Amino acid sequence: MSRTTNTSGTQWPARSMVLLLLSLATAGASAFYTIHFNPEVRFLAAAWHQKSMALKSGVSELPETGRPSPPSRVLFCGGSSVLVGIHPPSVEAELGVPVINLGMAAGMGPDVLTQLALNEVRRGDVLIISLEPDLLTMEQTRSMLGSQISWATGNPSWLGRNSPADWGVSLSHLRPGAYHLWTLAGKVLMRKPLYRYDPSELKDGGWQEIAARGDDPGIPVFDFSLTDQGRDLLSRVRRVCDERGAKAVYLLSRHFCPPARESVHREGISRFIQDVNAILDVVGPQTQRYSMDRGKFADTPWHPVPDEARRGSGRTGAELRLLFREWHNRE
Amino acid sequence: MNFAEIRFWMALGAGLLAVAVIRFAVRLPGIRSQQAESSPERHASRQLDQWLLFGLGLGLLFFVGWLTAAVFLYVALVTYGGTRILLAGRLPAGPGMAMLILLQISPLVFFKYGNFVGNEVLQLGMNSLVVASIPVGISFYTFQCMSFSWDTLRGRRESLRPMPGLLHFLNYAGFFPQIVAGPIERRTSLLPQMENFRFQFSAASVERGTRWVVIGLFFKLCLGDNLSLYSMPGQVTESAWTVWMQNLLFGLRIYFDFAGYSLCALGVGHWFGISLSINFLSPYTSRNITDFWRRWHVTLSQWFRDYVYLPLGGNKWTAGVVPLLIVFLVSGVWHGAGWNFILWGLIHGLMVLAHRTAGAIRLNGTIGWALTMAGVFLAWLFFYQTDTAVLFSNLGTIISPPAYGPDMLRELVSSYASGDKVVLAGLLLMTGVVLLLELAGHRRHGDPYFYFGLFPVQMVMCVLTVLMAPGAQNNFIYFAF
Repeated sequence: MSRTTNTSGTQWPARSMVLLLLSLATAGASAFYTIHFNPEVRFLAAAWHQKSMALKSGVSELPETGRPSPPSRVLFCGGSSVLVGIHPPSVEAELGVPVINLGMAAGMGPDVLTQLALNEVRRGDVLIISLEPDLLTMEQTRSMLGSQISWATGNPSWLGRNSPADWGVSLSHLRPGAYHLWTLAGKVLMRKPLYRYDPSELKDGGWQEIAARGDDPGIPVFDFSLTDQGRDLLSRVRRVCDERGAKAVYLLSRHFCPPARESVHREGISRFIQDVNAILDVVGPQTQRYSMDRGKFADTPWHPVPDEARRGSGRTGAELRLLFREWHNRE
Repeated sequence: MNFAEIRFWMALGAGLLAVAVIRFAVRLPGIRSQQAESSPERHASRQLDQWLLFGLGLGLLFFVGWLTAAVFLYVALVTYGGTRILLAGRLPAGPGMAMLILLQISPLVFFKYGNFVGNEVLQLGMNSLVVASIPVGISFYTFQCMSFSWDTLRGRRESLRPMPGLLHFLNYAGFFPQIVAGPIERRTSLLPQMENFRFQFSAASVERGTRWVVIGLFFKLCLGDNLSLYSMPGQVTESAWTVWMQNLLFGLRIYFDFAGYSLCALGVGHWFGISLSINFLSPYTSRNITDFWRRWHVTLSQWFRDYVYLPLGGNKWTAGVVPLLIVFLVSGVWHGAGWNFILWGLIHGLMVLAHRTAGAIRLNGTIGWALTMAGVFLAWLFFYQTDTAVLFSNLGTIISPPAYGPDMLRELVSSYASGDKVVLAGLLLMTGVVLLLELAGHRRHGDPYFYFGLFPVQMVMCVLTVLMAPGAQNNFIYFAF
């Protein structure tokens, strides 16, 4: 094991250097694969491209003076419950202002999801925070997917970190990981599609018209109280929006709840919303935020089928209209 | 010293850069000359290196947290000062030694056991005893310091007795690769190396060290951390298969996690020219429970043998039964403040006693291995399940025959999503291959890591570690002990 190379009188640990170079080369190849070929990253990068187009076309700057009412734009921020569940044209039909769906994937982590939205917030906007409750009620670690999408879309600023160590950590996330490798191998062997969603499902305004279906959407899992992390995040969102002359509100995404869990679920939501409401206004009556009708959901409890997404978005638009009127009256 | 974190390696790199700059700036006369080892210049240069090593270690401890560094300094200075005073005969030996031990373990007792003893055993209801986190590595360096005092004051050989210089002692007590999770070293093995320590580049040492670091990171990042994503105990279940699966996952995770740390420490030690002890010798291939404890956390087992079992009389008192049970009870308490840890220690003590008693019965190797592993993995339930209500409920499940029915097996299978099943199967396959390689290395070469040291295998491990390590940062489990 201790073979060394003698070059001009200096001994070098040849094998260690080979192992180091091999590791670096593997890391480089992993990063290249992750950014350009990883099916999940490719899909989400395409989703972001769609949203960027919507952001460019939906810009209508307000004059520097004057009260921003009604809002100039409505931005929805969250994970895939927003990506799949918020159909911008249906909300726009109710509000009459540009609506942009900035939903991506909950796996990117709450910090990255909110930062990408905050980067776009301007004076007069209303930012609807619709993060899935588990992102705010359960301890969150740094997300590999968040780093991967940030780099793949050329937006490392979403990571919101500046120290060299932070950059090192986020770059080290550009790897596939065991889950991806094993499941990819399984899909290749079983000749299944490499990813369950297809970029062709992405529509204008940043909405995904989901095609996948599952036999059992599962149950939404989250705790009932905000974590300190969650509380800090919502407070920061509020502060940044206040500074920019925008408004932030929370909206619980529509989701599936099995009938057997309804009473526990209702109680949990009520406590969760109470916590959130101490920091942000909350949109609409919470009892209408879940459904026990399995047929309305696609492959997870947070993904409504397209028709349900359109209907639900229309209802959300109407709730927002009421909220905006209330704000207007208050002001 | 979280070898699994990029931050640690960046901090170490920055520290070594600072060391290089200081060495270059000071440029002691004669540092590069051919002067004799005993020359004053050589001595001064060596001393500078030893101060720099101490500074590097302390800096890395501060990087972990100021409390961690402060508690370490307290324990180390109390040990050194107390041992010196007792060695000079300024205090009566017996009470003096007792007082020194009390002072040495007081931070450990406060931070680790204060809440358990005060609020759970004595029911005092004192919030002040609840500490947010235990200073990292406190159990390890406290035991290492205690062994130093014992060996110095009670050493049978005169050569053991002289007090080292303070700097040498601080480097012995706080050598950064092993301070937070062992191996727990003795003064006879580590102190002489610290007295002769110098920063010097040796290609052979780097090669030796890299071998261990590659294995350690593969164990920790590729196997331990990925298994930890599926090891989520804490639920009451009616399926015995689920309990066994959690026991299996936890047992494998803690092994790859802790062995991974120990091997990294060994490797980093070699990079600095320091040889540390091997802490794990493929324990999951042991054919009996006594053998298991000779191969699991070797330096802690030896510590308990030398400083608890033998002073209690060893085999001479009650044929070793009481000392052995005390050792395992203390070992349980050392691992954590909770009834579950005490029970875990007791169960292992009883298993070792049972093996001693039935020692005359010769079992087939495979049957012996299966029985040993059944006992060890059953006992892990007591280790990870800190909620005693859940613990006893799941223990009841394990001994209930209906809990092994096909429905219960289906419950286990359906608890994992299809993707998770594939990943779990893949990870268990990898751990199986690793354990077989350990077994083959141990049997054929007397070194469980023999095959992992082969260069092609090292290359495969490097690639797998880079590709498969999960992004989530998982602290080493033993940091909490």
